[in-house]
Amino acid sequence: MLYTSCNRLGTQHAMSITKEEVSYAAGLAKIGMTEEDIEKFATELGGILHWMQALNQIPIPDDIPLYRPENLVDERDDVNPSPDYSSQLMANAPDPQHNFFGVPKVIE
Amino acid sequence: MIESTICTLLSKLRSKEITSVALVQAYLDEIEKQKELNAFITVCTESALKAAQESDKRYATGTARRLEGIPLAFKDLYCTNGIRTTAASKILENFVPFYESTVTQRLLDEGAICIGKTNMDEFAMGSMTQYSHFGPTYNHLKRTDGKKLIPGGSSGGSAVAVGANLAAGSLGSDTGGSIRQPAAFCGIVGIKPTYGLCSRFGMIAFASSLDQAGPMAKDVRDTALLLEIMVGHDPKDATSLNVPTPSYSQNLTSDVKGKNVAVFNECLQDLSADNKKMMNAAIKKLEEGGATIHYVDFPLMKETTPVYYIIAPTEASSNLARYDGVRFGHRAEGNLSVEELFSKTRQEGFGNEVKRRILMGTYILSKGHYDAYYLRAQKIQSILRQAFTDLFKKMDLVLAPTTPTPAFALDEIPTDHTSIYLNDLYTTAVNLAGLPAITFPFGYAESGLPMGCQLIGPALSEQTLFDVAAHLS
Repeated sequence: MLYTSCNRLGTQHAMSITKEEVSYAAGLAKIGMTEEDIEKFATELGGILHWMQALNQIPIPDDIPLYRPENLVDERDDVNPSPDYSSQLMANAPDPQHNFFGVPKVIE
Repeated sequence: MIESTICTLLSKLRSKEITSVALVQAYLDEIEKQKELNAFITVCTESALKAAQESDKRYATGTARRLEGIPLAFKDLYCTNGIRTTAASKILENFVPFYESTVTQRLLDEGAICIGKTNMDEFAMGSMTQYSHFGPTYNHLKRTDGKKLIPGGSSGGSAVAVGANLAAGSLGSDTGGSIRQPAAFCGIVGIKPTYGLCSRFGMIAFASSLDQAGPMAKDVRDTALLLEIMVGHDPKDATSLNVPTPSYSQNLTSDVKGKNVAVFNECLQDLSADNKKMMNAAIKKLEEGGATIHYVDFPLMKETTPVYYIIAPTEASSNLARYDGVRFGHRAEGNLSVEELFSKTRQEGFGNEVKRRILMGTYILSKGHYDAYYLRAQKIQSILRQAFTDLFKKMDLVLAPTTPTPAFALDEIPTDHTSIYLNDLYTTAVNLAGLPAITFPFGYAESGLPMGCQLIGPALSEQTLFDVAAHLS
């Protein structure tokens, strides 16, 4: 379904992602959507996904090593950056309760 | 006074020709005068004036530091201790950090003053500064037809702040061109440094493997001065490079003799008349300075833009998962379950472009699509990095346009998203390869607007980029 033919960069194309797929992705991403939102994003994402098909024209050798940023990573000791971290952190909490983050009841 | 470069202002401050308080006040007055540009989300009037008084005391006692009393504007994704930091999003509308980002701290430690936090595309996702919860930013420049222009983005507020004399210099961030493109549209200088050169600690994350902090200023020397203060190893960022960092501004020369400069044949195809004129003039000036131009095939430069639009949204979908209304930021109201709290908070708190990119990233990473998109994009990113490595065995740098066109009018914004994404045609490959690139104004378009010229170099070649840009400027 996704590998439709591709003409050139920048081509807007008919929908190639279904409303069900958008709804599923929105569920995974935990973003509430109206029916109108889902319809709009299905059309827009379809156009963008179609544009990305241009990458299928770039030949990829079988033995290409993947770029891994790990070789840049410099591991450090896990130290508390601030002695008074918790109270400062709570200052931005929308519902602080007894120095805890308040959330809706999870267990019935 | 406010039209001056940072280097000129420092010299006037040292000679007591001006005071920092007067300088800060002059910028504050100009911000008020040009507030319709909407370059700032927060203006730090009181704290800036207070810091200026301290700077004047230091000048009086001979203890002035390298940027003493210089007002700078910070993009509103740098966490500033005690100053609201929003990333131009409703979801962070009232977020006040209790720590300072490393790069802003380094500038403040040298006496710089934060005059305000600049407007941007929400979470740096955009290239026009039209996707901000706090309204769009407008370009201070005018075309001959008088139409209102976009400033570029996502660091549009920072670019306008410098271009319209609302600050002496500014900080932007560049994930796919977000420093270079607005700098080009606003006629100023901006550099996207080598990945890892500037710490990302305290920078609100968009796509962590691509995000990089960088300065924007009126000329090459000012940009070099700001960058040399921002760089350096930071244990708080695991990807921070531990390498020696030169004093770019003091080492600055404009010598290009013997330099091998690549021009990509693909970047000469389909060029606008304005870009063609700009490229020809730059090539001529480099040759006159003793550089050799090499015309090279490098199709990946333009072909890999969709790779950026796969990798950046996937990282964003993960990075932005933290905004759930529990620990900080906006929280949806009502009698909601936990699941409803998350989804309603995010529905209300994110704008459409952010939702679009999170959805795209989530879709690409979901079962059945990962190999076709993400894995393939990563493989092409490896091919691109190798191609640049091979190129820089023979070449010192690459000359390219920064943008396909100069700044365009509000009524010329394309209606489809892929056309908007093509604004980034000459910039995204640099981020995918982790390379440094500078943009500076070079000549004018038919419409009277400045054109941006871009130089790209191998990792850690910032000094060469500054030197060659100084020759061309």
